[in-house]
Amino acid sequence: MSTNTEDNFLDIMLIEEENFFIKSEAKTYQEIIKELGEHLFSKGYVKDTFTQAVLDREEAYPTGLQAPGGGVAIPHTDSEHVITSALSIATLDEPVDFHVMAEPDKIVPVSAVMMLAVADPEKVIPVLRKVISIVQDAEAIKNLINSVSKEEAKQIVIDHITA
Amino acid sequence: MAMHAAYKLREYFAKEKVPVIIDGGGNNELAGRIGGYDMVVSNAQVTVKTDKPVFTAVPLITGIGEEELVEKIIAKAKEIQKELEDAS
Repeated sequence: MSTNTEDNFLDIMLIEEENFFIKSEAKTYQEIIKELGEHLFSKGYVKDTFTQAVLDREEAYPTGLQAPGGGVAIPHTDSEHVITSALSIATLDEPVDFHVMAEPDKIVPVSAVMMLAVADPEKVIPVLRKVISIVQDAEAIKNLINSVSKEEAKQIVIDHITA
Repeated sequence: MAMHAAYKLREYFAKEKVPVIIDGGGNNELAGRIGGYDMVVSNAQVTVKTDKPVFTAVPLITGIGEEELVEKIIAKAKEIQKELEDAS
């Protein structure tokens, strides 16, 4: 049963099945960022400048993380490129190399990409916290990586947010 | 992400009752601002040359090594505060 606060989370950041991609065949971090970014643009969540801004940011400040449950990346960019906050998630058929956050000389093979489109950073702090709690949860990340449908992947995220 | 790390640190400092001011800034603003800081916690590589203590915020995001990091940051903050008190 959801509380009002949790409902608010879902109002602030849309977590829609259509924004999930299972076993993407992207081969590079640029490819998967383009796949998710262009999808968010096609659905009207972000401006046409978003994808390039995420790519530029990823190059300068990479977001690959060795999380307890596997390699994860959380590409994002400034709010000025976002219209409506949304979370887009892809699992990868084969892990894709991302550079490591704060240690850009290092590489981490990533199996799950969680792209954040944040329209108002002040408002999404509680949501960000939940997203990060997924990153920190080994079981959730493993389940996400192994999920076989958009529905299953979305449910893993929703379960976390409403837990 | 950086904002998440900042909020989390603020909570840890409050729990320890260590009074601090946490200021957030982009990596490109750091060179101009570092003179006013006692320490830097960053989730990006810090390329600015400084003798101030620099910590990576990544454990606050992955959870791996978070407790150890927070212990180190709080110990360093207390050390700096003691130095400032002793000097005044």
